[in-house]
Amino acid sequence: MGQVAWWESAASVLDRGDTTLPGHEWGILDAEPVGVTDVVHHVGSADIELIRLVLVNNSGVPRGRVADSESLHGSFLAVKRSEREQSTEDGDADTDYAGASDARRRSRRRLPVSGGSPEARLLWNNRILLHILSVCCKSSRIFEAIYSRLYITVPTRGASSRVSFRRLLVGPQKRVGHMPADFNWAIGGEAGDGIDSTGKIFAQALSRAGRHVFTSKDFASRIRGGYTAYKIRTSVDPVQSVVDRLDVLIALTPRTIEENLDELHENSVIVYDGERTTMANVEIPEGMTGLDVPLKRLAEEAGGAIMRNVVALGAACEVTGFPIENLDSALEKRFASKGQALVDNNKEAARSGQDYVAEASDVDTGYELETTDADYVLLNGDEAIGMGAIAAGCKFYAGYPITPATDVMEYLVGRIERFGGHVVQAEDELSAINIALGAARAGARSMTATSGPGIDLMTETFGLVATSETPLVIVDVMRSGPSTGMPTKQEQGDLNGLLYGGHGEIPRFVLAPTTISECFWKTIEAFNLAEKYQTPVYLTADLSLAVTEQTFSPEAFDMDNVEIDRGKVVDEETIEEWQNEKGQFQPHALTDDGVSPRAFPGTIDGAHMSTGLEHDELGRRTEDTGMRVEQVDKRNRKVETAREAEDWGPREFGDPDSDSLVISWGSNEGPMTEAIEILDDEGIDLRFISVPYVFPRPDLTEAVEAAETVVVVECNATGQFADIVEHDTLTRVERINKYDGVRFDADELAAEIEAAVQEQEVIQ
Amino acid sequence: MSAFSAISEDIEHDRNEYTPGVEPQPTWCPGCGDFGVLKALKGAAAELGLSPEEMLVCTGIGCSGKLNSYFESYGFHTIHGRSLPIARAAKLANPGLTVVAAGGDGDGYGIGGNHFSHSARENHDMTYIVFNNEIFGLTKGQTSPTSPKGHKSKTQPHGSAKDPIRPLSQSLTAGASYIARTAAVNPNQAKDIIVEAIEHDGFSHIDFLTQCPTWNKDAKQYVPYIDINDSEDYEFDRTNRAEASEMMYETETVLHEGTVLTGRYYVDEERPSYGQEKRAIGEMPEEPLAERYFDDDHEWDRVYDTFLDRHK
Ligand SMILES: Cc1ncc(C[n+]2csc(CCOP(=O)(O)OP(=O)(O)O)c2C)c(N)n1
Ligand code: SF4
Ligand SMILES: [Mg+2]
Repeated sequence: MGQVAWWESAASVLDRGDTTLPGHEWGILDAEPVGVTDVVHHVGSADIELIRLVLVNNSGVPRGRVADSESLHGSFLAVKRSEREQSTEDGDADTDYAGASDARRRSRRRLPVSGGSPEARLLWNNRILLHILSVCCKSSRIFEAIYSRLYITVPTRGASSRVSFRRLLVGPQKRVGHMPADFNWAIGGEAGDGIDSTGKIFAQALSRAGRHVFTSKDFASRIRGGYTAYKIRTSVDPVQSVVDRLDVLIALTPRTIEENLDELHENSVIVYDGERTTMANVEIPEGMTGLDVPLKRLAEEAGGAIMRNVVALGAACEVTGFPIENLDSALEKRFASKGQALVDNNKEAARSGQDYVAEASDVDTGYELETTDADYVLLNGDEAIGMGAIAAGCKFYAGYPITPATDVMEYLVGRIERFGGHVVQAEDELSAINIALGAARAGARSMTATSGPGIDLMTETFGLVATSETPLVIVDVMRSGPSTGMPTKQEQGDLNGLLYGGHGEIPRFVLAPTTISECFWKTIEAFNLAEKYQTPVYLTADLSLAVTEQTFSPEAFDMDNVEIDRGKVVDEETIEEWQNEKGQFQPHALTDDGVSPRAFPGTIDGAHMSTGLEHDELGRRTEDTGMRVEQVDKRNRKVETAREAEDWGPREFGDPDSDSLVISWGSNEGPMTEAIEILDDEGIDLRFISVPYVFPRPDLTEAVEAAETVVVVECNATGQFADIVEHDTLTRVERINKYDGVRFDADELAAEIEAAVQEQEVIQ
Repeated sequence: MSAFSAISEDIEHDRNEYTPGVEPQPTWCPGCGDFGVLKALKGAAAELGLSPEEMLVCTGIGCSGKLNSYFESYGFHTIHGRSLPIARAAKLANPGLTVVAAGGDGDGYGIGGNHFSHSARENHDMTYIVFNNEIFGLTKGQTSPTSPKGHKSKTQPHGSAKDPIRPLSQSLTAGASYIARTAAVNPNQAKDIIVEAIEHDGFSHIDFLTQCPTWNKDAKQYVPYIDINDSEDYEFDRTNRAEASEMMYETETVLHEGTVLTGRYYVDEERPSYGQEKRAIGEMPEEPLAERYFDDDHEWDRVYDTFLDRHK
């Protein structure tokens, strides 16, 4: 089959006057093409044997053809063949991937021939596409070669070129109609519909039933209006990531269905209230089950329309075979403080939803959410940071509200006081960091938390913290920037700012917890580092860690393992050691490890100056060249001491002997660990290094050198950590970047990594 | 054992105790008003019987910011405009400390203006001394927020088009509970006012007129000055907000006409400080926040159930 013959003219598709081939549908993937060209694709929804590609240029004009899977396969081979010919003609060694050793090619998983069961065929189709697309997307040179033949082009819109193809690759798998081990549930509506608290109640119910839970939120920063959803993935096994599949959706608005079309599948159940005006004519997508439940009416009967979401939760229990007693217990917890009557009303509302579905519907979804005896706690990253702070003996918090860091403050207020601490709401972030600093100076373990815009303001004082050698923990819960950016969206864009922000050269530590439970432990570590080395510590989480609720065994937060090290604090009795011959206390004494003694105001014989000016050992301003150098060296020496003395090791996953190494930092660990499993099922081995310390950081040189392919995964556009890895190891790495404001999910990450790894193989 | 052994020792102190062995010779220009503040502060500290180690003096950046380099105590020379949030937090963290913040008019009314408003509003129990020389001294004489309209400087060669701010009125509106103006040329009044300010439970603001003979040559030396509390020409009740407000407005207006009015303008003894409010509602312990780390016997509640139960 010739490489072009299988294309059907895209124009002829349009000529038919509609966008549908007989028996199939197709659509535009990226509605707003940006960049050179864009790709339109379609996955035959019913007929898995047919996959078509249509390509459009920038103005949306179709340029390509439609292809079926068989010809795609043939075409892929043809492309490879012609590439090989071309590269031998050109004598261009770089593109001579065909010349890779036979052994290597044998070890590569071969593309299958078509045929076999429909499922197998589908997999092949995906694999072929993956190969073609990965080749197209990764190497512009090869892409050019292919472009002239296949008219497949790179969509440059969005986070990463490959993300756009994700649906193509994983979409059909969702249509497999059996009960998955994990179950995905969501409630969506308008901001102000109580989506968040309803979702939280269901998550709590699942957690109390001994099921693992991983939640995510689609939300806008507006309080009212605008689509918002709370999604829960649950399983009896630990869950670390969202996936793009929804099994049961409670839709309060038509938009909720639209927004989630990609994730719904044939077995999905949509619960909605057909009596709600906006939902009256709602269309349930073909193949899915719509459950029309009069949520509002039932709620009114149970005591108030406000409980309509609880009715929906009751309905959800019935649909999912989830014992409603667990919901009762979550409702009790939620409403106990408001009186038994309210609790009872809510339980009744839930029952009425359950009964309604049981009676009115003969749908058997086959879902059955089993319960276990396991004891879990459910919390998000911000709460884990707040809890870590209390456990670490933090006594003072100052902050200025900002999404997504506000929860840290709200967690501490009302709690830290019980442990002898205090929370201050400052007039702005300039003040917040200075307040935290003042308290630290006075001897309290002290912290502030903010997001990027606040970090910008705090950067002014950061240098003073370091120069005056005051211990301080500054939390940056990153969101999408720059400027106000996308306040409720995910990004890991502040890395360079945290590493290098501020004028002059500022010694610092930068920690980046990779999971919610690590948020707890790293916060404790941050306090110890800050005080042991009298150096500011940035602790950075991101939006997806901060707002995600996840279940853990309580042992993950065992306070017995918490240790507090306050460093070299002196008192009346020990201060003598640190006085000069004139009996003056030396707060910036030049020591071997760089760490000087600290005397809190109020300590006898400790009176001294602290200053942001360069100073001598007594804290007295100086511009003496020798002392300047000594003090700079001393402050930097603290970091070197810490580099030696502390553990900066990475977290390792996957197969340590694999040729393919994936590196990420911060919150990508969750989806990555699941991606490893997905790829493992497909026979792809990976070594994964998750880095929780960005400064000082682990030495990755050996690992990078040992690998054939190194991919750095992160949520920003420019690959800030990838740059660092390249700088540290003097080796070029592959990059997977996402900056569309949405975290990675395991499926897409698996697809992206597979593509990156395989493309690497093709090139070699 | 408490780390804060210096606090509330009952011994007499001499003015000279506050002269540090470390950096005794101020580098201010001869005739600078800043000497007057230092002298008054030393006198006040001695009169109050404070030990150097129970005082924390936080300063901003400017000629004025050097104050604590020449004053024996715990000192924190911070950054431009930020002395107030640091000072007020130190006081919250250790209520036993006597906390004084000080800085220039540019530092406090300009770049740090927001902190000034909010520290006054929150009525933190501390004393804030603003060295008001009506210019930026350290950076060599540029126009400041208190420079009079028409004042010429290198940055406003044709004269400032802006009306100066009204620091006393602003302080009152913001919520300070003790407000006074004094002048370097009147060291006795200055000392007495600092004593009162430190003793006052709440935010005490002192606008301290400090002549800068180097860069503000056309400005008067703030003589003759009139003490409004002594003068029969100025009858008003300083506990009455409306009367205080009127007196302040007049004072600020006539300064630029050559009449230097000084004295206590406003005192509110009733209003609780931020710390008192927070302690009253149980949001802050009585002892220093740093204390518990040293108290082995303290029941350090680490029972993790109290944390974790909520998350179940
Ligand atoms: C962020 C910042 N901006 C500018 C400066 C430069 N600077 C130092 S002191 C000062 C003004 C000083 O005026 P004032 O606060 O009135 O103090 P004075 O010297 O008159 O006592 C300026 C602009 C600085 N140190 N930091
Ligand atoms: S420049 Fe002015 S304010 Fe600064 S020290 Fe000299 S006289 Fe004083
Ligand atoms: Mg000034």
